[in-house]
Amino acid sequence: MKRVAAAVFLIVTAVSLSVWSSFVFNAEMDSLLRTIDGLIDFSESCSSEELEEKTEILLAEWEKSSKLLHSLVMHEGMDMLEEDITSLPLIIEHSDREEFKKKCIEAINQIENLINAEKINIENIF
Amino acid sequence: MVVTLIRATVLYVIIIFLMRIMGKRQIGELQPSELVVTILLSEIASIPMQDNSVPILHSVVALFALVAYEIFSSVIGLKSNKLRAFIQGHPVIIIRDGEIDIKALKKLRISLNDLVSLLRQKDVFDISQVSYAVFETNGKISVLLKPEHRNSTVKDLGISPSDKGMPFTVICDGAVVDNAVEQSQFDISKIQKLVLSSKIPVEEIMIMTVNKDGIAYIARKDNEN
Repeated sequence: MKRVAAAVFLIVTAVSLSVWSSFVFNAEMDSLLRTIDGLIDFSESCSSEELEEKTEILLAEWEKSSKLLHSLVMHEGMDMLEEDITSLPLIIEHSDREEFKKKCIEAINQIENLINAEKINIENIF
Repeated sequence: MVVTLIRATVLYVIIIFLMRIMGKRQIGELQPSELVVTILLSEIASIPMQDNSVPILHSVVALFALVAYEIFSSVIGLKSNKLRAFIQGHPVIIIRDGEIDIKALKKLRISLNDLVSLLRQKDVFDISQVSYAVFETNGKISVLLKPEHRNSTVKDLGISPSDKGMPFTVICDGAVVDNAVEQSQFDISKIQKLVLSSKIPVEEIMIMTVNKDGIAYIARKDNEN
């Protein structure tokens, strides 16, 4: 009976961890996605200083989320996203709006790929 | 490097915890499904140990789920013969009255050489001495020799030795083994009396056993009995 109780505890823990990690992952990724999306729109009609400020907000958000996300997602996928996001301030310095937009879109694609890889569907299961 | 050390420690603790939950069995006694789960556990645990970019949580979820499924299947197997047969298979008789069941051997994909080797491991060198040999679900064979080839028992000899029961190691390396004292069903005061009568201090006792009649064997650390 003790063993069955232990097995129930293990399976409940496994399911809870999976559900919690998926919930946290989706929430963090959605938030990042919205911020980067907003940044693209904002970059079309703002000054470099304003854009720099908004990018700093994105970087702060990334700093906050990345710690948790690294414990939930394979680091390889996260590294590419990190590279895209952390390169944004440097691109603003060179006042290259097109390149900025391109990097933002790349980051969005990375996030979408990570979200898709965690979705419960036939492709991911098999 | 320190991260690897910490990750290895965490995984070691988890694996030990899971192995304790799975229960005590030796490798040779594992059913095929248990063996597969045991190998899988070590494989899954080794991945985040080798690669720091893999989150430990991924492995933990898989490890917990596998052990839970293993326990559930063994518990359900205890209650349902059909499921047990499905997971573990059936024992198969491969020798009847000294005659090998070739059909059964072919079905089990065991060669005659394998069979002879398995019999030799059971100290049986002559197949004609075998009454029954059963291929068990854990890959071992059980052998029943013909009556004339079986070892004689105390009953066969018509004698009735007294049963002194199993001796319990109540003191080991100068320390009282509480669990063994409890199992021996003797009061600790009785053990203390036995120790006092031996005139050897507890810390100088290498090993002390008592059987159900309260007869003690005491060995001193310097080997004086």
